[in-house]
Amino acid sequence: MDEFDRDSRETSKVGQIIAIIVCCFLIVGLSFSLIFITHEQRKFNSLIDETNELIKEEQEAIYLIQTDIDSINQEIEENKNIEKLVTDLKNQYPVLMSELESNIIQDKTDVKIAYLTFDDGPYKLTSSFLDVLDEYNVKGTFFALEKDEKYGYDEDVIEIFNSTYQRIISSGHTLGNHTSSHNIKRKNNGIYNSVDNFMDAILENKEFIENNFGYTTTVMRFPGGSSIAAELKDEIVDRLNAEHYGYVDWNSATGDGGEYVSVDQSIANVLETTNNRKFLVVLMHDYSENTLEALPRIIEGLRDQGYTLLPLFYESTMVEKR
Amino acid sequence: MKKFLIILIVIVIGLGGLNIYEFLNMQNSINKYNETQDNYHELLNEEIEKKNELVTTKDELETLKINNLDSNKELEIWTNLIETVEKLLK
Repeated sequence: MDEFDRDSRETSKVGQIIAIIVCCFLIVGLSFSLIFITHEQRKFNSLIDETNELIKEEQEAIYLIQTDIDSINQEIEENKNIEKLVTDLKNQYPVLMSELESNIIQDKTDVKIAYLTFDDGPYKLTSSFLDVLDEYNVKGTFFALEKDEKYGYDEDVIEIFNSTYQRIISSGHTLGNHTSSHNIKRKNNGIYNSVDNFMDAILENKEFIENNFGYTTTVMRFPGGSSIAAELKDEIVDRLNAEHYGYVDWNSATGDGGEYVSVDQSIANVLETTNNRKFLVVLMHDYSENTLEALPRIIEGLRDQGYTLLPLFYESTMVEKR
Repeated sequence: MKKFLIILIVIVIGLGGLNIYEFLNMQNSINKYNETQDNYHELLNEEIEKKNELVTTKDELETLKINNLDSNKELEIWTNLIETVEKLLK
């Protein structure tokens, strides 16, 4: 019995020792595991902090980009408004001018207006005329023809003409219709052979200017003047009115359309025949070098006589309708 | 010896509990990390989109400005012309 007790005590001792050893292993294992888990947790926490920092930076970067976008959008809106402002001003001009012309006719003001007009262009010389007008800050009216390959012009010349049409329009001058061909013959394809021929030449030029330069002409001048249309005139004017065109002749001219006229004579032809008229429509041609030379003195002389130089417009009293 | 064994068992149980607790914490951190990473990538994508939007709007503005070179000049011309007529009307 004693031997049995001793055996069982020894067995229990061995079991306890084994249990102690197992516990020791478990303690070591769990301690390592705890160190590893804590380390990993710290690693993730530090990664979270780093990512949060990056997120903060990204949010700031996005905010700055958004600020840039907003300010650019604002600038876009302002730029979009420019076209509208220009259109509004263009629409305002005939309204104010009609009021001014009405005041002049009713003698409510001493203002006198001179409309400088240039026929038959564009020519290579036209840009020099535009330079002079720019220098004096004067806006005129150019009665242009259709000058393209259809009328036998070379490509390089057409390029010059195209930029001239464009410059006339964008500089605030009025671009008028002077028919496509200026063929004033009374036979065959001549514009004064029939009303249809005339209107074809007007509409062809209108379409040419609209299609190429996005500009709608509403003022025209008969090549040679309206009297040359003779018996066709009334019907032509009706047809022009139907196409929303008014026509303008002239009551002053340099005389450069016919025989040679000197620079001094050109100036005298305008300045000495104004007769203090309230409205002056001066006929010139932008192919004449003498007219180009005379132009600065014509402008100065007209200003000295109290004239304000302005571009023509459809509603003007000088632009005749039926 | 029995007492010593009991102490060891208590330590083992304690360490085991602590291990479970820290493991759960680590899982939490991993989930949180994944979440922040997702947010970060979303923001990165958003930044790319915004940058593209910025380039597009800049291009739009440049095109407008080029187109408006003439418009600005025209605006000045027509403003002067209207001012001239308004002065004559006074």
